[in-house]
Amino acid sequence: MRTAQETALAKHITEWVKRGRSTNGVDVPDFSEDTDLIAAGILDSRGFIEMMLEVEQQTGNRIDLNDIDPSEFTTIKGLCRCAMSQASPC
Amino acid sequence: MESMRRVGSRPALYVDGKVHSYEELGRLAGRIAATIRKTSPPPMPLVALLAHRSLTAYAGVLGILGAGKGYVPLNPKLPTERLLRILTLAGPDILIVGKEARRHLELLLPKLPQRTVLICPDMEDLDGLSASFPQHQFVPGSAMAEGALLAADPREGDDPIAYLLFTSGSTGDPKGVPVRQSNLAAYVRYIADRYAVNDEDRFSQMFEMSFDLSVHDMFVCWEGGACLYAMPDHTVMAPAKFIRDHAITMWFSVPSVIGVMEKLGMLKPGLFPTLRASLFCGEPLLGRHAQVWQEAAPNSLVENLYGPTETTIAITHYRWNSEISPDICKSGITPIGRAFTGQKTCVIDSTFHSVAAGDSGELCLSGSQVTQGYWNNPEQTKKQFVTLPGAGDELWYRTGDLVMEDRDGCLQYLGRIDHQVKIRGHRVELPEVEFTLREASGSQQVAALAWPVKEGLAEGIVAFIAGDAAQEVGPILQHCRRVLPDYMVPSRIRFLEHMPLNVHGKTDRMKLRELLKEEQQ
Repeated sequence: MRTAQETALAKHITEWVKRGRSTNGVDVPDFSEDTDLIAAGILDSRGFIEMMLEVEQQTGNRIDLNDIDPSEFTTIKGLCRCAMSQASPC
Repeated sequence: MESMRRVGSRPALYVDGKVHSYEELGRLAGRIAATIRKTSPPPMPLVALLAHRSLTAYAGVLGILGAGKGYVPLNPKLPTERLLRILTLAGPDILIVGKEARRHLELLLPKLPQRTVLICPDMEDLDGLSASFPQHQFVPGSAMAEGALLAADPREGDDPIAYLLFTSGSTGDPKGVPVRQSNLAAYVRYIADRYAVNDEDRFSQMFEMSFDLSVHDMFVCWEGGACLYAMPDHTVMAPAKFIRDHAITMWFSVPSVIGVMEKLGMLKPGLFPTLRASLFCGEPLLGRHAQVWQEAAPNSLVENLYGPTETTIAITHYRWNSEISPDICKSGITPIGRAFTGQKTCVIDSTFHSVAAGDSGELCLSGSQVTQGYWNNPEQTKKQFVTLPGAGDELWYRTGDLVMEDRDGCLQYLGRIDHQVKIRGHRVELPEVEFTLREASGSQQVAALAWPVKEGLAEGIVAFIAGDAAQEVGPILQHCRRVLPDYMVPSRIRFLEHMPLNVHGKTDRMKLRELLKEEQQ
């Protein structure tokens, strides 16, 4: 079950990605919280790192990604879930 | 190919979640080779391969070589126009296609420059394509020729092209580099021997096939009878879990992977106990990154490899030593070391004469790994492949890399002498980006700059266009995306009233960099 905090975080990050991608006045390709942002070419590795830092800044927690399959954290929904459940595996 | 017989039942390839034995891989490759040989009229010396991280992709490479042909890898992630340009320049009349690339056919087939035979080992239902494109011939998997286990093409005294790769070219067209089987054999034998590759090893396979470092993964691995682990796209950026889950022993990537993993907080001491060799190539390796990786992989040797595509994958190496290497690094960058045994280096000045130890100059390379010139491009060949004063007829490749050789013969990489940059390990000629910007904007006053550059590594490209400030960014970037690989597309475009010029009347790149710095502050 998703908490209200997690939903709000995902909404904030979605807006953050949209803002970051539209600075050039170019249309942002459609994406949702479930889109793999790397595979869809919306973020490159630098963009992903920046997104993760934004999530960490919002939650105040460092995210440990070592034992998580990247397919689980390259979506906004997955990354926010990981960030919000630091105490237990995602 | 010898490994097919020696270790037939052992695992050769892990891809798409499945393990394939040498025998299974060799049988499919043998059928592809037999189908190529049966094609009438006899095919050209090159066969193109449009496939990505699939059994067809790897068996396709082996099958093409088994038929005595060279492979031209087509990365399905590249824009269609770029793929068509490569096909036009290379001129193959056979295309091996994996089902993962089928969706590209509708766009490619109407524009192929000649009648083409499409061999599709993992596709059956091709009637629709056949009816829409009667000018081409389609061979589904069930119609492929039967073939024995792959064996080497028996021709003697011949040195066919093993693969033809295209790198960024400064004139707006990609440059083809044909690498011959003798070049490849020299590299593979040296490397497999140096790292004592054996059938217990598990190799990472991170690079796209259009990037020559993928040739190392495949052929060094299979030379030793080891298993190749093709990394799914989503693991490439953060590969820690993949390395651990598959107990990878041999790692090969661009150094920027370390930077990304470090920033994601992924690299911890002792994280990769199974690795026994970690090789990095394609861009400068920061000493700090080499040390972080060494601590994460305590049982592994860590080596920095260096080499342009023209000299077959890599040609010099430097082994990291935690005790002494940090003090040897220049500006924090790991040395590129010494030439492989049997290959030669020479550092020259602008008159082509050798410089003294300790002086900087352009690095030139010679030896059995060095190719003989560009594909159908005598002008570029003459410029880059030269003889040196006092060195007889020996052909040397001018790298365009500025280096310094110390008194112990260890080479330090200092930078480029031209406008070539590396973005995520890919070679990018900035004039090629500028050519595309001119096409898209109609303005002759354009400039492309690597930006930002952090610790000597370029992270992207920023473009400047002068003369018509009213232009829209969108259509220009869309044109760039249509014709350039993603790593060559500018992340940003700035319009200027006038392009700043230096005293020689050339674009003042220093001034443009200052503008970007001011913007950052």
